[in-house]
Amino acid sequence: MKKLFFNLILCTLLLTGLVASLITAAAQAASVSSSGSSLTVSLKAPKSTALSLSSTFSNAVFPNTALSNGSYKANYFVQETEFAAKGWIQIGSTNVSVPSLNQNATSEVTYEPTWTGNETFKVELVALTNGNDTVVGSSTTVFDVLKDPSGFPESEINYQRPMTQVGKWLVRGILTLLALVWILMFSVLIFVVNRISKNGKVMLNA
Amino acid sequence: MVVMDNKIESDQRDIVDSNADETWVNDVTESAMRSMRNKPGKAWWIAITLLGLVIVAGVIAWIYQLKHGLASAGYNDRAFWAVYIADVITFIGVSYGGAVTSAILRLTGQSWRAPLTRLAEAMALVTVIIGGTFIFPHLGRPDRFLNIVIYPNFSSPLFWDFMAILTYTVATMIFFYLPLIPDMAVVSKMLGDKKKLWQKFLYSSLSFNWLGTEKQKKALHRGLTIISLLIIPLAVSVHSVLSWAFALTSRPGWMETVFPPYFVIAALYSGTAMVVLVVAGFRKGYKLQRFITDRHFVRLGYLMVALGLVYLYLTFADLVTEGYTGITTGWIKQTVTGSYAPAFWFYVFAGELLPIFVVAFKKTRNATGITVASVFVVISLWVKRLVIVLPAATQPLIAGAWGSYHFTWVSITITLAGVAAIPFLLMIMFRFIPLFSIEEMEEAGELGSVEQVSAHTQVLAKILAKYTGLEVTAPKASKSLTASETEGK
Amino acid sequence: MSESKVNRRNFLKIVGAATAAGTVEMVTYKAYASTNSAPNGWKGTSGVSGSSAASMANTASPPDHQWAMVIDLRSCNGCKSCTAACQKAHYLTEDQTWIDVFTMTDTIGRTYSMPRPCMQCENPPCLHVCPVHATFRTNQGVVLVNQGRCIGCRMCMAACPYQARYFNWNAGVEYPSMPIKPTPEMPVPQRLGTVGKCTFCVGNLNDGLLSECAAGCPMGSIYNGDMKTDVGVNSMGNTIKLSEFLYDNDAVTFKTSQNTHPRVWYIMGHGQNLDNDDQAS
Ligand code: SF4
Ligand code: SF4
Repeated sequence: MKKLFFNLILCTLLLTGLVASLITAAAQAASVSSSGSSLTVSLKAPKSTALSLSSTFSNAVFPNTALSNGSYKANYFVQETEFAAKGWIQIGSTNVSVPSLNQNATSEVTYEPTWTGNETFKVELVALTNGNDTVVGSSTTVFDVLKDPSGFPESEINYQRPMTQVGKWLVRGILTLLALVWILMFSVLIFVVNRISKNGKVMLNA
Repeated sequence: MVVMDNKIESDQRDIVDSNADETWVNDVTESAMRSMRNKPGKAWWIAITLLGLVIVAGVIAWIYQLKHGLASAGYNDRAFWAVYIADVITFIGVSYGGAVTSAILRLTGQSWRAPLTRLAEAMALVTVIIGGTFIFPHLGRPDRFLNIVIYPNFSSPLFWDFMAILTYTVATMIFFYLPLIPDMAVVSKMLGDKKKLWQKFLYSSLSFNWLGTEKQKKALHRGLTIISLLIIPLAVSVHSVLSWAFALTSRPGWMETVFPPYFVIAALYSGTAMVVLVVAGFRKGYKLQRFITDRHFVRLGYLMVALGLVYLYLTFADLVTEGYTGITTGWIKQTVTGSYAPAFWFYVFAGELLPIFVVAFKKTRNATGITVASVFVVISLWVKRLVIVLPAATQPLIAGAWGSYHFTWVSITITLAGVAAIPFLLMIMFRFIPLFSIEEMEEAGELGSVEQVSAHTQVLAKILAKYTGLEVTAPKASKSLTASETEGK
Repeated sequence: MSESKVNRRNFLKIVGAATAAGTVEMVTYKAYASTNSAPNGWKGTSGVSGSSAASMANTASPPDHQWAMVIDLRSCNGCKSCTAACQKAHYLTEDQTWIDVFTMTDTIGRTYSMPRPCMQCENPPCLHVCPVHATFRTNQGVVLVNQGRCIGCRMCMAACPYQARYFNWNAGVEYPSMPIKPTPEMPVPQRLGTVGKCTFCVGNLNDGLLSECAAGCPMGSIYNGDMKTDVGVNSMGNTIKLSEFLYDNDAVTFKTSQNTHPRVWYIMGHGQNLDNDDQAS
């Protein structure tokens, strides 16, 4: 019984995995979504090349609905783990229109993942009050990027100089020439020696 | 051209004694084999010992260098190429000069070359081997030398350097060996049946039943013509590729289109000078004044000065092209007025102006004068190579001070060992082979007056017959030996 | 304050003028970005024809990264801490300055410090001239030397336009016994008679660490960068979006006319972040 249950879970997991990967094969990103207490960040993948991050801000996080439109901003970040750093790199920012009562606000940025694996994103809601930016709420989410669409140009990885194509034939040509020279040298040697020794033998026997 | 012809004729009179008789031909053979006489003189032994000691010192220095690294030879990160690569270029250049001088004289049928070619070719062979060997002290890891063949990079000029030098060395060997065949036969017959094993191999086996028949001569001449034709482009390629080891970098002072001809001409120039030196040395040592006269030196002197002028012109073209725009003047300043100025001006005065004056004035236009000039040419061209290598290598490519190179006992000893190896190897070599090609001397003689021709051939045939002990002594057979008849058919 | 800003701008202009004269000839990142991918038709499968140069590299890691470096000359004070850190980590002699700090002079005689590591050229002249493929380029864009194969011909030293290569002329400095054999990524101990150069500390980078010079820079002037993930980080923990940072600060590469396509970018300056502006007046 226990075993069956376990298998079932396994199958489900596998299936979801399959479905997920099928979906993300097109979308290139799947999400492991986690939500903050006051902000919800969810994944949308409408484009084939870019990851769309869209956030939903519940009404509760807007402490001051009296502020005019354009005074709330959503800043998006991706966490950098390379070089042992814990830096956040800003990847985009949108204005958030202030919702009316009991309504959620949404915002969206697109982001092109540059490598596969887990990437941590953060969204911060910033209120512009009295000229100061106040972070009124934030949330982090980990996305598992399955495919890297950035496509660092192959030519940059395998850079070659302009002579390469010509050079290949040049090398072959010169090598052939070299081989011919060697053949010529030795055939001359053999020819001369052969002639001399043959003729000498004839004369000696005569 | 008419003037030249006159000279050749008068030359012939110098080379070919007017009373051409058995003594003369005997003399040719005797002189050619002077170096092979049973017991070398005292002077020979002293010379060979001294030279040998220098070479041993060089080998010890090299072992020291292997152990302690190239720093012991004065190298550093700014002077990363210095004396050894200059040595490589100089030795191989000198070899090139020997081979090409001999090949061109052969192809153009200059009969006065006859007593010189053997020496020139031997010098070419010896110096290319020494030059090739100098790659080893140049390398940081000579033990991995074969990596060039195991992991070849076709886009590297050094790979092609290796191929070019290898091919050229083999060609030089063949070029040296072919004219040797008749002489080997002569020596073989002279020795008779009492040959030791090595003598049997060297003289009998390697002369391949040479009897001097028309057919054999034809084959030999044809082969020699092809190899002579081949060795010129090969030598040009060696020096072009050597120059590309410099010119294919982006260094100011090296990255220049003029470099391949620049190197080729320098090689010819120093090579001719070296031929003069080797010829002078052996002439003196083995008293060959009768065959190698002042005329020969003057001829070589003219050739040398002509090449020297071309080289001077190329040097000027190089400096003016690099200097005019002012982009890369640093190394030029350093060369012409800076710390390399003494070396550069030494080259100009001792390596260019001196030989011109020596050849220009009648008083100095003789064997001694031209030999002295040649000494300066060879040395100053080595200096010139250093001046090509060092300023461009030690220049600051980004900022800061110029690098510098200092000679150490290691680099000096190894270089001197290379220099000593030239006479050392030549002296040993000529213990086993005749000093000049007897056959070519015979032909040179025949190109003299008609009377002399018949006299020579008959006598020579007699002598050859004496050595060979065959029935080619008959007048008919002896006729078939003449070059004029060969040409007629 | 505004005056000093003007000065700074002037300085950049002056530097630009100097570059035209050829002393510090450089191209901006903007120009690079506009023609971003390498010129058409230059593609190929490996950096060199012939045998497999790349096989010598640690190809275990797929090209998830394209390593680069940014050196911010506005904050470099020329203290040479980077040189010292590098020499310590790689057991180099004092002369072997794999990252060297040059004192550069602009056209009006002011000086600034410029650290110079190996540029990790995308079109490395040193690689093309190496007769035995001892120099090779990894798929992460790092040019390395296999000191186990190098024959010590120093052709690469002749070819490198940046003087970035250093030979092991002598036995070198004492080194402790090493846990692993020297590799191209970590050529320690140095081998006598072979050539060495900056490796970008590519082992560190692949382990997610900063290179020794970047970590050792007290000013945070050296950023290790990854062109693939578009990130740069310095010793101060500042994380930058590489392309934006380069674009916004008019990053340049060194000696661009050499067509080497360096992976090291400079932000021009003469240490003005260090209150050096008075130097300008
Ligand atoms: S010194 Fe070594 S790495 Fe440099 S070119 Fe020669 S073999 Fe290649
Ligand atoms: S900077 Fe020099 S050593 Fe480094 S990759 Fe470029 S050419 Fe090679």
